[in-house]
Formats: sequence, C-alpha cells, structure tokens
Amino acid sequence: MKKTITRTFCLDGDICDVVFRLDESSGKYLGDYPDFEMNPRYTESGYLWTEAVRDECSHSESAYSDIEYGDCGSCKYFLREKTGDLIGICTHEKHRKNKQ
Amino acid sequence: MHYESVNDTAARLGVTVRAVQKWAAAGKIPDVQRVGKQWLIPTEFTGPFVDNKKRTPMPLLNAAFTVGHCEKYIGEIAEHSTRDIALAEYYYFTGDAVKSAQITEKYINSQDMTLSLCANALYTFANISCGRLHLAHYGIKGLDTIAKKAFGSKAKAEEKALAVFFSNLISVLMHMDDKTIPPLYAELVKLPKGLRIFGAYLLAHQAYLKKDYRRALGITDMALTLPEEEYPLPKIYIHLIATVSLVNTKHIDDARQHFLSAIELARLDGLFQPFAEHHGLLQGMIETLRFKDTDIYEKIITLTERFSDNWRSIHNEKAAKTVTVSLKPNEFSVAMLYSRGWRVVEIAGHLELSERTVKRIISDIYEKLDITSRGELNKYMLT
Repeated sequence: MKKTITRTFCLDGDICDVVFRLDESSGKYLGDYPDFEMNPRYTESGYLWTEAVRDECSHSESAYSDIEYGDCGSCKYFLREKTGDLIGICTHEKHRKNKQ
Repeated sequence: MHYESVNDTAARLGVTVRAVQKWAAAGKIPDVQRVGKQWLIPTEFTGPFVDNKKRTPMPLLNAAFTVGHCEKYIGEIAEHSTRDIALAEYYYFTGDAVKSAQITEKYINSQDMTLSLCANALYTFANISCGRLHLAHYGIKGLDTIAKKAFGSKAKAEEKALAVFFSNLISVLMHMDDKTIPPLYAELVKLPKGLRIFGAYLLAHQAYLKKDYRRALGITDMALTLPEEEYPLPKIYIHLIATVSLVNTKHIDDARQHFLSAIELARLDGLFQPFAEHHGLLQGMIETLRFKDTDIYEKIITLTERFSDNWRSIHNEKAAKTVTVSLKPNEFSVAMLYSRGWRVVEIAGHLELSERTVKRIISDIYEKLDITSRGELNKYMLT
C-alpha cells in the first residue's frame, strides 16, 4: 500500500487537495486536512471552506430533525462533495465573502 | 516437646524468618525457647492467628496500610493464604497481572468461600489484563456460582454480604446490569471497614452509570469524610469515581483535585491499575499528566492499553473489535468527550491541546471508525 495518497475535493468551482497518510495500526488513510479556521479559504462564489468537525456557529441549523450535534458537519448549510466527507463549504450567506 | 529452628518454622508455615522472630519476641509463640541469640520454636506451633477459619476478604483492599509501605504490610501478614491473596492484589494493582493470576489460580476452587470469592474476582480482572478472556469468563462464572449459593436463606449473614459485594463488584465494574443480584446497600454494614468504603465506590459508580452524578458525588463526599484511618486502595477508587462524575458535570478544577489526590495515594506503591480501569471514563484527565508527570503517565497508558482493549471485548464484543483495534488511548479520551457533546474549544482547554490538534484527532477518529457524526460515535463509546 502507498504511504500517502492525494484526493482533490471540488466544490463550487474551487479545488482543494488533501493528502491522506496511511495509518498502519488501523490500515486506513487519514486526511491531513487544512485548518480553515486559521487560514480561511473561499470558493469563487465566496463560500467558506470548513471542516465537518468544527464547532457550530450561531447561524447553524441542524440537518437532522431531532438531534443537535453542534458541529458544522451536521448543519444543513454544510455542503459536501460526497457523503461522509470531512471537509466541505458553508453555504450560509452570513459567512459568504462579498465579491468585489 | 520437639523444637526446630526459626528457618525451619518459617519454611513450614510459608512465612518470612523475620515474621517468626517477631512473634517469638512478642511472646506469641507458646513454649518458645531462647538459646543464646537463637530462638527454638516448638514443632507443633502453627502460627499466632486466632481463628484459622475466619479470613479477611481482600486483605489489601481492606487494609489501612501506610501509603508507601504496602509491601511491608503484606510481608507481615501471618496466615499464608491471606498473604497470598494480598500479594495477588498487590500484583494486580501494580500491573503485574500474570503473577496475580498465577497466585489466585490456586484458590479459585477453594472450599473456603471467602478465599474462593476473592480469588475468582482477582482471577477475572487479572486475566482481562493478560488478554486471556476465556479464563476471565471462567472467573466470572465461578464467582457467580459461589455467590448464588450464598444468596440463599441458609447462608450466614457475613457470607451473604460478601457474596453480594463481589457480585455487585463484577456487575458494576464490567458494566453488566444483572437484576438477579441483591442490592449492595443493605449489606454494607456487615462488611469490614475497607470493603465498606469500596462498597461506597460501587454504589457511586452505579449512580454514575445511571447519570445520577449528584448522587454519585454525595456518596463519594461521605465516603471520603467518614473513616478515621486511611484506606488507600478504596480511597483511590472513590477519588476516581468523583473525578469521573465531576468531569461529566464539567467541574474540571474539582475533578482535577480528586484525580491528583488519587495519584498521590497511588504513587509511592505504584498502584496504578485503577487508573487504567477508569481511563475511558476519566475523559482525558490522564492525558493531562503527559508533560507534568511523564513517568506515571506512561505507566498508566501501558496498563490502559493492556486492560481497556480486553475489557471492551467482554463488555461489548461488537464495538470492541472496531474501537480497540483502531483508537489509541488519547483518541479514545477525545472520542469520549466529543460524543458527550463537548465542543472542540472545551476539549482543547481540558487536554491542553490546540484546537487544530483536537480537530485533527476527531477527523482521525471518524475516518478510523468510518463514521461521519457524533451520533454514530456514541454507539462505540461507554455509557
């Protein structure tokens, strides 16, 4: 097995490459995700890249009818490229960067 | 009357030479003779204990020994099978589970109920640590069989109290809710003092499992206030369950006080196994030691890695296969906190990590367990 593989996430016309390293104890590839809180990054339309595990903000609304999870990944404004992805973009207008 | 040397008496009774010399000097050996500097002991002397048939259950757990002098205390126990059980307890609580299992194996089928209950309980937990799960199951079953006989109305009150104590011990520590076991509360008063304090720990732990943290803390407060003597081992457990309850109510400073009190009681004698038993429930408290007290941190983590995997295999076989193979102890601590609704910033503060590191650990946890939400994480975590 390769020690690292790279996956390209593509959302709203923007791409983000993430390197996945092989964790030998579990045999799984684990992503070295960017820290979008420290280094905010926006798509072409101004949507904010974010991690699913980031704490929810004051604008979040749960995507699940009965459970509040308190993270971006469970918010209805969080958009993933594929189900299960741990990064995506926040589509809430309050977080959108105004285009010049 | 025939006489023998101190060395011969010691070998015959299975005690130390020093112990025999002390009994002789204290006048506890009838008809002993002194010739020059040597003691001559009657060959019919069988030991200064009062009643061969009345044994102290879990002699180390039940002892008010001086912290730092645990081994010395064990060496001074006269009766050999009681001393064996105390030694087995010492080996278990200091992490030498193999030796503990070897000693207790001799007594699991003893006709003496006190001995066999103690032996089966220790045998179970020692074999969990060793990864010999079929033998751990054997210990659980053995204890269950002996205890259920003692629950009957013909059993003596003390025997029944002990049987109820040990049954509750297994049920609580293995998180197995067995409704056929009589409640412990009514039997506590019949137990010796040290076991009574440990019984309070079991009641607090039961309350914790029902998420009744106020009750758990009420019990621990009383248990820590009442006894005049220091019973180090039960007190370690009381402090740990207080820590666990306080972490759940997010009173972290108070939790830390209890945790450090437990560490101080355990430190000098190396009694760190209780911390390994509670690693998951402590939700990162052990990880706070990693830079402050590296030696102790590494000892506890080594014991945790041995014990926790196997404990989960008995407690929850389905979850165990995934969690135990995948998550490291620090990842498990983060998973416990996160699954209980702690925010990333709170976990970072509690474990003295950066938020970026916590997010990375959580992402790793999700990917190792093939999950995408906290809700899915819960099914792998302890209640």
